[in-house]
Amino acid sequence: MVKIEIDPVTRIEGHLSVTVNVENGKVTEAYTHSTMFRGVEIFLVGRDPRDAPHFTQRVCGVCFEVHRLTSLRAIEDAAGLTIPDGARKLRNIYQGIFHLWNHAVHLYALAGPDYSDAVAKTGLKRLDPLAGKGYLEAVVNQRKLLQAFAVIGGKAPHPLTPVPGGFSNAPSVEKIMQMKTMILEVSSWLGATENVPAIIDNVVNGKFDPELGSGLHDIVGLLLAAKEAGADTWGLGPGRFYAHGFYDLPDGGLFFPRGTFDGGKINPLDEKNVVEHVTRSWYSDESGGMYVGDAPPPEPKYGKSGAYSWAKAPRYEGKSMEVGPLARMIMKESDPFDLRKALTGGSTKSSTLGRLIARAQEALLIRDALVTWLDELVPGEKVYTNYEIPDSGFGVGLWEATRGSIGHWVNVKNKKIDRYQIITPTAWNLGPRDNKGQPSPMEQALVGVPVPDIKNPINVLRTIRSFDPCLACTVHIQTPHGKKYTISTSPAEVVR
Amino acid sequence: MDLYRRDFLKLAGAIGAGAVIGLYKVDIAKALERAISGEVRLVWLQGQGCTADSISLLQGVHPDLVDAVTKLRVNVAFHPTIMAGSGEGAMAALEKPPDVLVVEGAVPEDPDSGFAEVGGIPFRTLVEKLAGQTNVAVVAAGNCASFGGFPASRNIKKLYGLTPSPTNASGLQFKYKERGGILGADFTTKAGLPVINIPGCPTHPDWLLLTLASAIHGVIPELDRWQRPLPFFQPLVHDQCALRGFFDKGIFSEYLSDKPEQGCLYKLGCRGPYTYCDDSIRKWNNKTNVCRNAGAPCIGCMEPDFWDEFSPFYEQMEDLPLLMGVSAATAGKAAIAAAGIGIVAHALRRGVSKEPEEKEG
Repeated sequence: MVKIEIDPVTRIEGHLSVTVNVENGKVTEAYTHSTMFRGVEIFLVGRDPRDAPHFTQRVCGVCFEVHRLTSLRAIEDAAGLTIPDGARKLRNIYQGIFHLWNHAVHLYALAGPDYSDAVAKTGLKRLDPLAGKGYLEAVVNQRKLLQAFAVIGGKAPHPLTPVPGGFSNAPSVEKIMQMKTMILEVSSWLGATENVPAIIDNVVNGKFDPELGSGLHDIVGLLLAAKEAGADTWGLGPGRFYAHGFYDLPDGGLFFPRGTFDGGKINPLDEKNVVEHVTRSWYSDESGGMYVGDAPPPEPKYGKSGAYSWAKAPRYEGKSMEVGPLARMIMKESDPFDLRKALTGGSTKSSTLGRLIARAQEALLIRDALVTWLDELVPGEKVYTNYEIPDSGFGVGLWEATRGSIGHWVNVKNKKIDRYQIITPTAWNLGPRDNKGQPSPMEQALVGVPVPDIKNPINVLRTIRSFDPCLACTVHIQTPHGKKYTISTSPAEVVR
Repeated sequence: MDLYRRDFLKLAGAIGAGAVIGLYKVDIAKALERAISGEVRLVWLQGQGCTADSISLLQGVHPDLVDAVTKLRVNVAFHPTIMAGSGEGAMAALEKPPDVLVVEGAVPEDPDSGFAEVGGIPFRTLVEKLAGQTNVAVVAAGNCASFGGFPASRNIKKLYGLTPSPTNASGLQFKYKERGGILGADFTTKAGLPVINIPGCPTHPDWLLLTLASAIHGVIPELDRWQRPLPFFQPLVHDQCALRGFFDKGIFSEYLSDKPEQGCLYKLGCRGPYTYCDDSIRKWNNKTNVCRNAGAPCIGCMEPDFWDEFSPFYEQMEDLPLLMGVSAATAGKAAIAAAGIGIVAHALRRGVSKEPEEKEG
């Protein structure tokens, strides 16, 4: 057996490392280790609830927009507050622009190169990192998206404009036009959603028609290269999916619905069934094992016997659940152009390719929705209602980060935070084993991934990246002879 | 004149970063390209951080700078995230003395705590080793590396006896406002420079790139008492704020989003009068916007210990002695301190603590 240590999550030092055992050219076992702890759930206790959005958005410099929204939802829920419709629209646009940016960065700059000619000799030169025309066009367009975001966000990262009670500014006609112009520019680079079938024909026949959309040619090229690599046959998660859903609609529903999928059918989701386990995590045993809303602040116990991560292991009804765009598309019962069905053998099938396709499909859905949502903005519309701190209360925020479900739970006592719990998508997808030894979805998905060359475990990297961990990672590989290799991989999210 | 020897920081202070970048982007790009050739070894480490400083670095810069960074991606461990492909060079970079060391994120004081590790090495151990070897400059990018920042937020209830913060996090040469930190008050690089702090949450890409370009050329920036480059951190946010005219007229927003473009945010908790940096003018995301202009009160993220000193953030700071203490303590120079006190007097004169003269609605 060859043991490969993979060190994803944070750049050179790596805040998440993954150990992979390989036998006969395939991964047999995987363990993820989160190696950074800050104690956010501890130092929030005793603070003004209105400060929670400021603090919790700093949990992640890539998911800042959604930690803020989820925290706001939790404290607004605790106060029994409903935000005005104008704020609902603005928050959707705020998150939608960021969501599109995040998917674009992932598909072109992080996952894309894995299937490029430069990295994998696929013939897909447009996605060659830092050199391919498609890659360079994406660099320009992602910048436009974050500028559009800053029009209502004030700045990025760490915007302060979604506030308790709504939003801190109602954009003028000029600002709405400014955002719209930038979004439409990006949209025309990407190409119309309806052009997808024609673009697939183009890519299959080696043609390129920028009139139909340069951006979409590259995304389709990426998906077909992944299919060619066999990414539909490995990276299989537990087959169970979980999504809080997000984007409030005027009728009270969600643009991406809430639910769980057990492999057969979609079921309603009840957050009362969410438990975080700490058996294999560096926390006292009393820190987990109960409904997350009742859990105490985690008590660190570094070096605890059998533990190997600072991440906790969230489970739904005792089971590991895969979260992310694929889960959301399944709950939406959506598979545009039957891409997942045709390329992965089923719209609800979990695989490395399935996750990539769902991300691309979701990017198109969001782009199309954004254009409509911008048209619905009314200059000068009421976007704020006064937020009064409740004397006491309990609130839950269930929402979605780009890379999967996020939850914040808050208890307020004497107008101060008495307890605060956060579950990130990374904990769901990339956490450690639980009290029953059940692996997390990524620990499970890595098993069976082919590794023909341990010096170049590209399919392992492709599978890690398919979960869209949100910080960059570094991969350290050790051979039995002690020789070290380091490979930088895609981002993975920091866990608290 | 040798453009390489120009003090980018002074230029930035004199004519604004946009102009500097416009005029000198070629030189800055060249400066950054020098890192590629291996003449200058630049290492970027992350501890207890959220990566926002890295994300910020990649946003809102001019194309030439992006090009420069892009080129760096291919060649050197300038920054681990923006490198592509194989990274044996990254590990090698950690084994050789850096010329410039950039640290993002705080450092847990106890190396045996397990709170932040890099490939099995405690983050503190790694930082101490590399900083001790650094030839030119150690740069703290963001508030966490500068002063401890977010992870150093105090454990108010002293839960589990973990104090002052759950992980006892510190900045490189400051812990909160106290000089010392991880590297000690006397630390200097081989070139004789203390840690250069470039705080902010996140830090601004212009500040970072201009400071890096400057440091690479051995130009010693003038620092304030918190060891921040003066050209970026001398202006008072409040003085340059687009909403300052409302303050002067005593017109204040009573509620968040209550006509945000028609009133000063001071009564909503804005910390602009206690916070020093030039972002009111410089703005963010390629000069698109800044918090106050989007109706969001400043939270003071440039200042040491801002998480605890300024929380609760949506409450107006009313304690006058503290107000004056903060102003004086935060100031980089006596003249600035005087200006700070002047603002207090000014605020009082304009009736900050009484009802605004007009209230619509």
